[in-house]
Formats: sequence, C-alpha cells, structure tokens
Amino acid sequence: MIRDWHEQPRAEIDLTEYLPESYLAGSLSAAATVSDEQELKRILAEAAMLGVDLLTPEGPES
Amino acid sequence: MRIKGLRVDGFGVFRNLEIGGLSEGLNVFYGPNEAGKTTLMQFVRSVFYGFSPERRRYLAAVDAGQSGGMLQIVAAEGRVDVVRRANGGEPTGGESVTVNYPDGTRQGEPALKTILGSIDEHLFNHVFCVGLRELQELGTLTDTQAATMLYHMSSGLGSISLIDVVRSLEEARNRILDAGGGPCEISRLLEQRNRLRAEIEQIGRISHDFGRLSGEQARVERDLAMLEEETRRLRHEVRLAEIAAAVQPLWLQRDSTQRQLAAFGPAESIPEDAVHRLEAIGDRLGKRREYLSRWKAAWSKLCHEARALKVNETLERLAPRIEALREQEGWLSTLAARSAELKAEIEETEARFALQRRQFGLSEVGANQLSGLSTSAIQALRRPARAMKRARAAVEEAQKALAQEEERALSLAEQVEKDLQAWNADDLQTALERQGQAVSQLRRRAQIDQRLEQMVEHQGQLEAQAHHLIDNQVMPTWVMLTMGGTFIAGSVLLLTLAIYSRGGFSYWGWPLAILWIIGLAAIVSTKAVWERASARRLTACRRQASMLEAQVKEIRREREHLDRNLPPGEGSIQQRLRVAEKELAELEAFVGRDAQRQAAQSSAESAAERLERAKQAASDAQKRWRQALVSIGLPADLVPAQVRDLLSQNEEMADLRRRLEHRYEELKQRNREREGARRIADLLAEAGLVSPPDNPAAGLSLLRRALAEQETRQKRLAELRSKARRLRRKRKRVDKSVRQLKSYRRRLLRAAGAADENQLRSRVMRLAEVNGLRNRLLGIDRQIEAAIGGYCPSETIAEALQGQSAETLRGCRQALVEKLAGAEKALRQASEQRGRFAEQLRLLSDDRGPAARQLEMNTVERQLADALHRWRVRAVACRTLADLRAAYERDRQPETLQEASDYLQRMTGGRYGRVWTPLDEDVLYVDDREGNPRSVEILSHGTREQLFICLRLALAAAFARRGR
Repeated sequence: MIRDWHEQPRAEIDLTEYLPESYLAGSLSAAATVSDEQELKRILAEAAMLGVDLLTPEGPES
Repeated sequence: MRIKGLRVDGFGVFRNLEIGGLSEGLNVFYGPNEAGKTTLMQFVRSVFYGFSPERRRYLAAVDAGQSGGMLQIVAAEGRVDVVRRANGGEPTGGESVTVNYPDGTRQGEPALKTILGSIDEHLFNHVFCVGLRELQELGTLTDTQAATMLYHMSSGLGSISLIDVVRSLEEARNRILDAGGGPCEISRLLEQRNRLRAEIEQIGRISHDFGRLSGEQARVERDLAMLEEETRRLRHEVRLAEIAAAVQPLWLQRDSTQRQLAAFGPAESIPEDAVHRLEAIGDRLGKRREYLSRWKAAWSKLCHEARALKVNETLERLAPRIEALREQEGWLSTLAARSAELKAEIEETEARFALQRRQFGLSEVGANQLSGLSTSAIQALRRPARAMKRARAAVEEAQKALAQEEERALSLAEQVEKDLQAWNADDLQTALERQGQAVSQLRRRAQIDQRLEQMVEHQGQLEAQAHHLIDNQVMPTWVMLTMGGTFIAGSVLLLTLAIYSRGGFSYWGWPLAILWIIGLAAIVSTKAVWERASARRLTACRRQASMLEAQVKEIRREREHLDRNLPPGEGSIQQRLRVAEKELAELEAFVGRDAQRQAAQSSAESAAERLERAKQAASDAQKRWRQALVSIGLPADLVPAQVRDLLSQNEEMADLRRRLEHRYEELKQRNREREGARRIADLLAEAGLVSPPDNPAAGLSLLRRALAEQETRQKRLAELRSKARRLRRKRKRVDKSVRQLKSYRRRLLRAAGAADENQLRSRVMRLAEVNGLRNRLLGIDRQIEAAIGGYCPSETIAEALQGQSAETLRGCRQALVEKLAGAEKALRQASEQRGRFAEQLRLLSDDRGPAARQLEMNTVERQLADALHRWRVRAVACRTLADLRAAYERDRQPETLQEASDYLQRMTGGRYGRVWTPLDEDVLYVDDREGNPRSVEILSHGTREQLFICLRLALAAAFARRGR
C-alpha cells in the first residue's frame, strides 16, 4: 500500500472506517481524512517504520 | 507402508480367508450389503491396533484358537507379517501380536509400534482406514498431526506472528481512539479541553464581583465585633441574675442559724465519746458477773462427779495379760468344735485308704513300696510301653494291607480268566497277534478299494480328455470360416483393384497385396501348429490311459488275494474294519488288566512278608515290657493300661496318706492348746471376779468387759481433772478483768469533771446541740459556694441580693434573657454573611487565573494534535498489514491444502478450486469458480464428502512423503 502511494500518489487517505460513529459528525471527521501532501508523506513514512519495527524480530543486544 | 495381502483365520463372517497379490495402485473390494466389506476394514484396524471392546463383537462366534489373522505389509524393514490373535471373544480377554521379519526373527507389540511410527489409532481410523461414519467427522482430526498439516500456515516473519502484530497494532490504535467508542486517550483529551473552556468563561464572570465583595466583607466584620461584645455582656448579667435567684433561700437560712449559735455562749471541753465509753464499761462488768455465777455451778458439778468414780487397781495391773488373752477369744470358741471335726475326718480317711489297698491286692507294706516308686523308674516303663504299642499297630496295619492286596489280586485273576474264556484262547498274547493281523489286512483292503475308485475316476477323466482332443484335432469351424472368409475377401479386393486399375495396381494396391500374402502365410502356419499340438496331447493322454489300466489290473489281483486270506465276516469292509479295530482295542485293554493282576499278586506276597516281620517285632517288644516290670518290682503279667491305672491310684493313695498324717498332727496341736485355757480362771480369781465353770470363753469375755469399764472410768477421771484446771485458769482471768474495768471508769469521770454518771450525761447533751448548729451552718455555706460555682465573688452576689425580693429577681432575669436572644440572632446572621463573602473571595483568590487556564488549554490542544497524528500513523499501518494478511492467506496456504485443492478441482470438474484456512482460525473455506469463499458447513452433502475425501487423500500423500 505504501509503495503504491509512493509510485502512484493520490490526493488523500480516508481513515473514517476506524473512526467511531459518535465522532463522524464532529471536528474529528476532518482529522480522519489526510489531504495535505507533506503530512501525507510524513504519515506514510512513519507507518512504514512502525510496521518494519513490529515485524522485525528482536535480535541479541549488541 | 503398504498392505500386500491378508489372511483371516477367524473374524466376523470370515474363516480361513486369504487375499494376496494386492497391487500398489487402487484395489477395489466390492459386493452387496452384508458381504463383509466393513468387517475387512475392522479386521485391518484390529490387526494394527488390537481388539477393542467394540471390535470384539466380531470374535463372538469364533473359536478361541482361531480368532484373528495376519496382514502382509511392506514397510521400511522389508516385507513383514503382522499376526494378531485373541484369546477369546470376551471383552476382557487377552490377545497377542507377533511381527515376523524376512530373516525369521519374531517380535511383539513394540516392533509393531515402531513400524506404525507416530500414526496412532485415532489418526489411522480417520485418515487411512476411513469408514462412512468417520468420513463426515472432519472435526475429530483436531489436536492431531493431521490438524497441524491442515491448519499450520506460516503466519509471520521468523518468530514474529503477523496476527499478533495486527492485534497489538489495533490495540494501540484503539487506546488512542477506540473505534467502538469506548474510553481512549483522544476522548479523554477532548473532555479535558471542554472542561477548560467552561472554566475560563466562568473565571471571567467572577472577577468583576471581587471589589464589591471586599467592601461588603469589611462592613460585616465591624458589625460582627460590636454584636459579640454586646452578647458577652448580656450573658454575664443573665448568669448573675440566675445565681442570685438560686442562692437567696440559702442566704436567709444562714442568717437564722448564726443567730441561734450565738445564743449558746462559749463552748465546753468534754471528751466526745465519754458517755459511750462509760456505757461500754458497764456492759462488760455485767457480763463478768454473769460468767462468775455460771462458773460456780460448773465447779460444783465437777467435784461431785469425780467423787462418784471408783478404780479397781488389781484389774488395772492385770490388763496386759487380759489383752494378750483377748486375741485368742475367737479361736478358743472354735477349739472344741475343730477337735471333733478332726477326729471324724481321720476315721473316714483311714477307711478309704484301706479300701483302695484291697482293690489292687496290695498289703500295707506293698502299698508303701508302690508309693516309693521314683519318677525315673516310671519313665523307664514308658519306652517299652510305646514300643509295644507301635509294634501292635504295625501288625494290625500289615494285616489290613495283606487282606486288601489278596482281595484285589483275586478279583483281577477272576476277571482275566473270564476274558480268556470269552475269547476262547489259552494265551492272551496269541489272541492279540491274531487280531492285529486281521486289522492290518482289513485296512489294506479298504485302502485298495479307495485307490481303485480313484483310478477308475481318473481313467474316466482321461477318456473324456481323449475324446475332447480327438474332437479338437481339426481346427474349429468358426476359425476355418473366419480365415477362409478373410482369404476370399482379400482375393476379391485384389482382383477388383487389378481389374479397375487397367493392368496395374494403384497407390493402395501393392501394400494390400503384401498384406494379403502375409495373412495367407499366417493362416497356413497357424493351422499346422494347431494340428501338431493336438496330436501330441492326444498321444500323451492315451499313454497315461494304458498305464492306468495296467495298474488297475494289478490292484484288482491284490484285492482278490486279500479277500481269500481275510477271516470270515459279514457287512462291508469298512464295517468289518471298525469291528476288528474295536476288538483289538478291547484285547489291548485286557493286556493292561493282566499286568494289574500280576502286580496285585506281587503286592500281596510283599504284604504277607511285612506281616511276619511286624509279628516278630511285637513279640520282642512284649518281652522287653515284662523285663521292665520285673526290674521295678511289679508283676510281669500287668499290661500298660493296668500299670497306668495303678500309677494314677497310687498318687491318690499317697495323697490320702499325707492328709491322714496332717490331721493327726493337727489334733495333737489342738489338745495342747486347750491346756492354756486354765490361765483364764486364774486371772478371774485374782481380779475378784466370779467365772462360769468350764467355759474359758465366757471367763475371758467377763475379764474383757471389766477391763473396758475400768478404762472408761480412767478416761473420764482424766477429763475431769483437765476441765478443773481450765476452770481455775478462767476464774483468775475474769477476776483480773473486773478490777481493771472499775479502775478505768473512775479515771473517765475525773477527766469529764463530773461527780457521777448523771452529771456527765447532761453536759454531753448540751455540747451535742452546739455541734449540730455549727454543722448546719457549714452545710449552708457549701451549698451557696456550689451555686455560685466560682463564677464571681460572694460579695457580688450579696450586692445583687441587697434589698431585692424573689419576684423582682425573676422579672429582671427574664428581661435580660430576651435581650440576649435578639443579640445572638443578629450575631448568627452576620457570621453567615461573613462566611459567604469569605468563600466567594477565597474562590477568586485560589483561582490560578485565566493565563494558567489558557496555558493548560494550549497543552491539551498540543497533546490532542499529537494523539491524532499517532492515530493516523497506526491506522495507516493497520490498513497496510490487513493487505499483507490477505496476501498471506492467498499465497501461503499449507502444502496439504494445496494438494487437496488440486484433488477437489479435478473431482468437481473445476466448480470448486481452492481449499484454504484463515490465518488465525482452525476452520476451512472453499472458493467457488468465481473465487467467493464458502464455509464447509454450507456445502451440499455430496460436495462435503468429496472435500473430505480430497483432504484425506492429501493427508495420506503427506504422510507417505514423510516415509510412513
């Protein structure tokens, strides 16, 4: 998904599926849609780092 | 491992069933219902895993020695036979298993478990040996190795589980912002932000009222101070009025008492308890006088009683001797009776002793000798007695054995004699040989008949075969017609081609011509080979027939020879043979009986010899017994029983003799003791007492009573003397006390300044009245002080009471109380107002102010933005990992499921393609042609069976690849 975004940039990411119904009509509904390009890149980069960290087994401490 | 064959010795409906040569591919056993297909499957399960209680019902109708069977398998060790047998059809019966290896070694259950490896019975029954029932039970594979093969999908990278990562990421995301609307970090921050906004608005409103509240509070403080001072003053005046009203009656009583006390004048000095002490002295003097009168009476009585008591001095001197005789009082009373009893007993014992002596014919001297027999002499008699007893018992036993053996030998001899007469033979051996020869001839005769019958049957078969060969010597008509038709058709085809191609063959002409020539050659050669083979088989058949005919003739000649030599008889040969064999068996039984007769005869002779030896031993034992009797002086004709009676009677006689001697001795002793009774009469005379004649017991009783009376008088005299001494001592003490009391009374009157007792009493009464008034005045003062309670000096109360009546005091107090209530009410209201102002001002002063709230508001806004950013990052990561999970479930299914998918695709003709399991569940889904996943439960019955067969085929293939 992240690679797809980098190869074919799209306008925004819609995360409202993870938003509770009580917040859909409030100020948080705007926060569930990321449209700013810089913000979008930053979120994708951090998400990729987080995924790699979680899926990487902890090696012996050096 | 593969099953190559099986042999069922006994299992269910099968007995001695053997199936071999099973191919490596598919082997199909088919048959109608109840043919035993399921029984064969249960047999295979039983051989591998034993006869479970459920499978033991297949053994119910099978003999214990033939239940079970064998499986031939090809395992890693090579070709192996597995044999399992049950000891019976009972549910608790035992069983045994044997594994036979190609090299001849045999092993048991452990070897079978090694061959089966880790395939347990449950897995075997649900994967490799599946019935219709197990086919529908896919869930039973849970918790087995098969489940691992079906559901163990690679779920992550290395040791990291993708499912665990997704779950932890979702939990982290929900902690920031819960998708279900539960408590989370962002909802908490939003609530905090809303609260801060409301607080900032409230603070703005309150700050305007702060100045007004401060002015109001200062005014209330001043009013409050004045009201407190007024209230304190009024409370004091009210309290003074209350105390004055309370003490006014006491104040008046105190004035009256002081006036009465002043009227008595100056006080006198008299001891306080002078009258009481004077009265006590008088009481004590009266008691002393009463005691003195009682003392005089007691003294007079004592003197009179002492004079009345008299003492016998002689009797007192004889007291020790009388006491010594008192100990024999009871014995003296029974002495005469005991002497008479002893005489009678002596006479009776002498009579019994004489009677027993006469009974055994012994003189008095002999009886005395018998009593002198020592224990060793008696012991010496026991050994020859026992030897004689054993010898007599041996003689009796030998006589019984001889009688039994003679009777048995006679019985057997009579039976053998009867048998020989029945067989009309003088010698049993000759009869036995003759009968054995007859049986042998009859058996040979029966064998010849059987063989002749087989030869005739074989002869018939050879003739039928010869006829068949003759019939088939010429090629069958249909073959001839086929070959001739083919030849004619080929010829017509060739001619047609030659005619229509105008002198030459076309493109197909020559190959057909060559084919026609080859076919013609094949027909001719086939016909020649056929006829030659038929002729060869016919010749061999005829040769065998001629040889068989010669053998038949030879055997018939032998049968005629045997018929001539056979003993005469009726019935068929088989019947005669059975009769002859039965007779031979009876003759063999006779041989055994004759041997028993000879053995019984020999036993009887041995018993007779043992009887003679026993009689000789009994005679020797009797001689030794007589010698032993003579050696100890007893008659030689006594038997052991008589000696035993004599010895037992001898002990009784000795006992009688000893008892007689004891009685004589005791009688002498009693006679001596009766002489001592004369001393009693002497004592009576000396003490001056008169005794009854010839009755020492009565005399002794008289002495004892006189002595007891004397002792009583002595004791009473001693008591009287002691009492007189005590009375004299008491009289002295009372006289002294009376003198002291009189002296004390005189000193008391002098100290009070009174001439006598009456004058003293009047002065004491006046002093008591003065003391009463003083005590009353003191009590009133204490009550007044208690009423004031230290609140103010008594002078202040005196001023308040000056010229005031009780009514005036109550009115004044009531007015003061009403004024105090009004002041206290105003004070409470002012205090409450001051508290409200103070609380409002405290809230305003404690508040951190708008700047602090705004700073906190900014912090919350920043935390909220940070939380939203983290939530977005985790939401994007969750979506990415969900895509990754879908890719895993699509591309990384277990190998077993992929193989099952291939089978299912082929079975269903492509209608269902993919069998797969989700990453985090042990369930199966099947994708249809369009790729839609379907749960196993919603598939049709037939599709589900196909799926389960595919799964088991894939599992079997997986186990096979592992080498099982």
